[in-house]
Amino acid sequence: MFTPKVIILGGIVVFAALSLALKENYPLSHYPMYGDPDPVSQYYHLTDGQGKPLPINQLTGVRAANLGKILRKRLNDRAKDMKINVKSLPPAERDRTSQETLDYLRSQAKHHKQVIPDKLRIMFTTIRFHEGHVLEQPEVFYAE
Amino acid sequence: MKNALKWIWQHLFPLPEVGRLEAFIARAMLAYVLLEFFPIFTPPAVQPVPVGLAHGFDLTWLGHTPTLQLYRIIFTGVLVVYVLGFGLPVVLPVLAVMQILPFTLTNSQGFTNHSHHILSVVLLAQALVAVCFPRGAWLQPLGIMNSWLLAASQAGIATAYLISVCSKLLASGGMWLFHSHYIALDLVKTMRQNYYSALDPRYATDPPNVLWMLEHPTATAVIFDMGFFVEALIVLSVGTRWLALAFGIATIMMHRSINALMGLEFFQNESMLAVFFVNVPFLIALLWAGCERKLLGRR
Repeated sequence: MFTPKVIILGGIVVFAALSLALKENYPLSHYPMYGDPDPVSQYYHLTDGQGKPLPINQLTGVRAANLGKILRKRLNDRAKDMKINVKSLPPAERDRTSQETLDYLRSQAKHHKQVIPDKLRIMFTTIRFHEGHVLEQPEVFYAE
Repeated sequence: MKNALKWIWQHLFPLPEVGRLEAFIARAMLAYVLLEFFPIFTPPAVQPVPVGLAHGFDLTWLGHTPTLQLYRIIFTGVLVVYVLGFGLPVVLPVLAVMQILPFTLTNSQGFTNHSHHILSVVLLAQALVAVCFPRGAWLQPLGIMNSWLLAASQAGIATAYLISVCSKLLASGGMWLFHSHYIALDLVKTMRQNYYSALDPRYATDPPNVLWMLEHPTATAVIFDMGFFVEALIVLSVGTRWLALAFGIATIMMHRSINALMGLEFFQNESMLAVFFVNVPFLIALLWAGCERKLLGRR
């Protein structure tokens, strides 16, 4: 009954099921990248208090792509704790999470022996493609 | 249809024969890759959003440079024993845990870096095999154990791709193949993220090939859907030689094309595909055996 074929197939099924159930728990992952392609895309970046972009990776070791991941994860966790949808998160909770993220970035800058400005902003930009052009709409997500 | 399924089942997951030379080269190559991709920078000494083992253990002790340097020396020593093939039932689980811990800490910062998962998956799969084959495997792995080590490594890698396919289908409500052309917009996003990471002017423009994709959604969908099918079907080549080689090359080409488009790197995945699917150790062993035969024939 337990032929190599059955053992390998069983292993594949168990490993896949565990990974999909436990999601991001290293070394398991459900590899969600580019899982739901959408006509609108978004990204976050870091600026100083005047809106001048900062090279976040050089300053903190955190890449711009990971700023969005950190923020989304923290916002989702906060919403989960409050038993509400992330879109219904009160502005005060969103701001608190954003400030905690900036505090984390400051601790990482210290770890990398870098100095970052006293006032920071998290920018949120929406991208869409319309009539042959890439359109971008930046907005301030959170400002200190 | 029934006959086709029967044929697939009969030919699914054969256990490949693996010689001692091939097994040694595979271990040496895996060890090289593991050492090459061991963390160069000390991870932060905090775990604000713990994942995996960090849920139960404080791993912040790995966030100190002298500790990590010592850890790396011990890891290198264990790798040497692994390459020699001694005590695999103990060495492989130790190696797997040692490799997983620092990356668990780096992934406990609130964001996930998927670069190293594939290496940990291969080590876990091999450790599982080694634990199940303790008898007679202490001084040198047995022939059957080498076969299982290869098949399990292939299965681990292929399953990682299969999980990605399942996630795509689940997240998109089964519509991924029809929405895949929107990934071109994600390519623009990735360019912007690359730019804002270091304000690198190389990423300040929209590459012409990405703009072409945005203007040609059907052709773009065909290109991305081909990658989807490669990821979904690579699992069928587990245990094979030449089919695995074909899927290995196709998957590496997929990663290379993503790299050309988005600047994302997949060195770890590509190296694991080269070792366990393209079967570079097997090809070297084959070449060696051919040379040996030729030399003996001359005598």
